[in-house]
Amino acid sequence: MTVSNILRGPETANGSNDPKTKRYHAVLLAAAYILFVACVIVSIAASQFAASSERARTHAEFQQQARGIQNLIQERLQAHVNALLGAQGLFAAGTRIDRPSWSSFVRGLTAHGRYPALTSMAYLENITASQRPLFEQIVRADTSLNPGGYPQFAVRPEGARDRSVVITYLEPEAGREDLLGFDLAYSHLALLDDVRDKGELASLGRLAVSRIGREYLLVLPLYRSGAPQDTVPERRSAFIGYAAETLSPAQLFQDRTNLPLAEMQDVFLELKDVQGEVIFQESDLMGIGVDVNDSNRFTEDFPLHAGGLSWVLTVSVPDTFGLTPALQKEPLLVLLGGLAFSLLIFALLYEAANARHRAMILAGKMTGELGKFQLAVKYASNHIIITDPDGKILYTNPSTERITGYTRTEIIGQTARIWGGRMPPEYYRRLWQIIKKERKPFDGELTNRRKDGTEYEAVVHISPILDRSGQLYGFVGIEEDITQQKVLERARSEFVSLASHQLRTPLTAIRLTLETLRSGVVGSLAEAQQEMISRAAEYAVRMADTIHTMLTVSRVETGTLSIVRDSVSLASMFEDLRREQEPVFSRKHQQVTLNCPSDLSIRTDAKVLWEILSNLVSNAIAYTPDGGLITMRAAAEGNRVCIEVADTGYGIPSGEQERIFQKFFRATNAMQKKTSGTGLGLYLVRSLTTLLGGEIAFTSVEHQGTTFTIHLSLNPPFHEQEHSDR
Amino acid sequence: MNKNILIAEDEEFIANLYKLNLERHGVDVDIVADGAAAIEAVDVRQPDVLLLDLLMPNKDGYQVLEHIRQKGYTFPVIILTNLSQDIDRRKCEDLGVKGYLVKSDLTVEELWTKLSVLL
Repeated sequence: MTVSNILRGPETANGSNDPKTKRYHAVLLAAAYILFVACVIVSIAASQFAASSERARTHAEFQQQARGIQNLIQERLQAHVNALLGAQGLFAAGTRIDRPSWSSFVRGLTAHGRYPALTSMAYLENITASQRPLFEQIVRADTSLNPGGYPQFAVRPEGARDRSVVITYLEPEAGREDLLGFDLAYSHLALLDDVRDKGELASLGRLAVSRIGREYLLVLPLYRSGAPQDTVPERRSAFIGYAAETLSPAQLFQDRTNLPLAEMQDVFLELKDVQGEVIFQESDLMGIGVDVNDSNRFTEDFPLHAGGLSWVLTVSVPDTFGLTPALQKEPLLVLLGGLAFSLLIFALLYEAANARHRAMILAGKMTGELGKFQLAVKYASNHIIITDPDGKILYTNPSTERITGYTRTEIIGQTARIWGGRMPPEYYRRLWQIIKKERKPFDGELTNRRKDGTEYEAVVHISPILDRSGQLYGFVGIEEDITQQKVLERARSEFVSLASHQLRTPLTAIRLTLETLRSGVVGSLAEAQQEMISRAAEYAVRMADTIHTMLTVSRVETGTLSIVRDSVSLASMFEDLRREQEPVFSRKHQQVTLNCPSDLSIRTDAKVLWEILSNLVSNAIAYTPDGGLITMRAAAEGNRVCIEVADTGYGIPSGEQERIFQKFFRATNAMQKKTSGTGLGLYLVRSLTTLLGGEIAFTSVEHQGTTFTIHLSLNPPFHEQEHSDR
Repeated sequence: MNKNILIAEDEEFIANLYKLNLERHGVDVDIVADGAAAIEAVDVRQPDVLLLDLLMPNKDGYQVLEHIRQKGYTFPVIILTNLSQDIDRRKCEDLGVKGYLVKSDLTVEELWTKLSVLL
């Protein structure tokens, strides 16, 4: 299994790009949408159904009630027709009906109240022009009902006519006397003849007489009793006149309390004859017209037949008929309720689908990330453990088993003491102080023991694990087995040590020989010989210096240079430096200035600081022309000390300033002035300054001079990690 | 009576050069060529100063120092060696030496400066 497979593994299994997860999410969302649409459709359908079923119910109710009206009106109309038929019967029974008989007949009808719309009934006598004068005389003299007779009676309008149909008896007479004598043949002759010939009841329409202009006149022909009436000529021959009845249409609809529509709102009633002429119209809508074709109304037409009459009754009400306000709103409520329910269902499903999807993605991501971390920890070559705040081991990776030799089951629940405890108690005390009390990471090196008893050396990093509230959850400890590294380091260190020893022994012999020769102990030398011996001694010193520098570099790089801090007086160190270099200063006529408070001292490693400063001073001497000025300054700056070594020398070319701390680097102008440098001096100076916890900087102008500035802490903390030899 | 200085140094030529130069300052110098001989010599007669090399055949300088500590001798010891590791320096300081000098970096005159203060 490759690393990429390992890292990809968990993600493809659980990651957010899993097509299954996506498909599932899409299906859930689609289901939510479909369900929503279905719910909306069902809501609308339910609303429609509620509306239509309600409408069907109320419409049926309306029809029933309207039919009730029809029946009642039909009944009332029929009653009027019956009254006329009764009159026809009256005339058929006797040869001659006189005025009192007519009056009592009509009063008999009205007395029962069965004909509420019946306003009056008349007998119309058919007379020829020749009969007219006699007829007028007889009527004027008729005192059978009215003691005074009818002296004013005359057939009207005046003028000669072949035939007249004259209102002869009228009941009631009161208030209608002026109708007596009116000749209907004057205006309706053709219609009257038609009625006579057919033998059927007919309406003459509105009476042209002003006072009762709103009344209808129904007429029925009367024939002589006993005469045959089967054919038109027979009927003409038997014809004697008409029974007439004035009918007020409004009276047909009177007495509303008896009508089934009494409680209807906005009811519209209309009566038309076959020609479409409106006979009667009644509306609650105070003169506002009603469109009976309006789809928001229930409208029903009923034919009315009575005798020869054929009328049409129209009943119309708003379609809210029979609905209470609550019932009217029912379909809307059903729709709104359904929509609300649909939305709720959709929102729930949508949220559920999304929440599930988000959870799946998150879970996938987390599992993926966790998987990566687990794998990283599992395959790490370092020994990694996680402990609780008391150091009890909760987790361990395979490298821990490999390094310590203990198995997982032996490790879990134990503390690191099973392989540790090889260091002085002080070491562990400090470790716990840092990680538990100060809650800071601890770095260190220690020796542990494997299960088989062999020891190993390790670099250890322990970090406290804090939860979000800052509570200590436990620790993560990472150890690297550096036993092999240490063995190599020691071998290298020993090699350098031995090599330098082997170089130094002959050098010692050479230097001692030259010194002995110069001292004259073994005989005096000629001046030329003395000179040569001196030069040889200088080379020997330079070689010793080079060996020393190289060895120091090696020790810094292998970490075998130990720092031993002590109180160091800078003023006296400056003095020592000047004293050591005094012969060179004199030879080059260089002026040395020391500027340091006599009481300024710092806690540092005197040997290392000496190494740093003597290198800087040697450089200043070497790269400053004869007669130049060299200044050493030191001053406290807060909790640090600033040490400067300045010269008035050749300076460092600006293009090379970045490289001067590099190992083996030498400035071009420096190589021209002094060929013997190793290029290790400033590299060593910076390495040693860093080792002391300090910083080094410089400013330099070519042909004017260079100033090196070192900042060191006055009192470095005691527990600062320091390199140590083993 | 002249002060007595014992040099324990396996390089005979070097030992003799030290002896030659130091005796000019009016001290007596004896030489032993290995650690065992040095132990024998100090047991016979304790020197005023012991100049002790570290790398020597037949017991090294550390063994000599250990012997001196065990015997409770109080004469000052100056390590004169070409080993310059901090670990060697520290070990010797722990064993109570009065000086630790690197031979190749040192002139006889410088040695005498350090030595004379102990006499």
